Amino acid sequence: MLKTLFCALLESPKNIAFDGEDNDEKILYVFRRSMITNIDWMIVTFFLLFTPTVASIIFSFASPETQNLIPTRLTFVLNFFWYLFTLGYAFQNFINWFFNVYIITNKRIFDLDFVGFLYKNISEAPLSNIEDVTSTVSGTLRIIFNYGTVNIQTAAEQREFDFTDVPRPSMVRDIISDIIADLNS
Amino acid sequence: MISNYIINIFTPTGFVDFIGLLIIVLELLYLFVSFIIMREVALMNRSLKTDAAKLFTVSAFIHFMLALILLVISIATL
Repeated sequence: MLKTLFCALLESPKNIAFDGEDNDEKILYVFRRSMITNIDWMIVTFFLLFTPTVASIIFSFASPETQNLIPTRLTFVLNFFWYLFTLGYAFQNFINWFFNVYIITNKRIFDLDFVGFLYKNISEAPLSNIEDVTSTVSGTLRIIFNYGTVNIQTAAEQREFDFTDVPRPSMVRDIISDIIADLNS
Repeated sequence: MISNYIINIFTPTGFVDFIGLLIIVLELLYLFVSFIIMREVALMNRSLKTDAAKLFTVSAFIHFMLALILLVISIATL
């Protein structure tokens, strides 16, 4: 389960299925955005976790009259709320990363997007409709950590699929090209 | 009575009471948000079925219950 939770590239995952999967359909690959793309909210979470401690240290330098102004119960409630909010923030960001997946099966490609609380978008295209696959790595972080975008051109309703910030985009491009070549042969 | 309350906000104890009331309102909003997160996790688990579905469901539920408990504590004590 750890691999399912934290991996951004899964090959032939055993215990993953998606809504609308056919009986004879087999998931070949599951991609997510590279784990490094989570660094921004992780840093924010880290600072949020330590803010009450820092605030109480700063507050301890205030005069006793000012310190007595805030009742203990209010401090407790504030701290509880702060940590709960931090937990919610981290959880929301993690599940957004976890459930935004790109799936390649033996029949189609599938892009599942959840943005925020209230937006869900699912796009799919048959493998036979894929015309062109391109990978791009640009930017310092992307070059250092080897993640980037794989752009897939299709002849389907959805003309383009972008597998954004996936790890090892060249390998992903190669995988998709090989699957298309096997299908055509 | 309302004008007395508004005047009291500018006193130290009145201001603390006002902050307490504000926190309760924020917690009510956050309870709603945590409920939305619970529903969102249910929708996500239906869209993509994984080993971790139960873990996410339980986590979202615990998060919601903590928000509810916090709200009850705040109303009772503040």
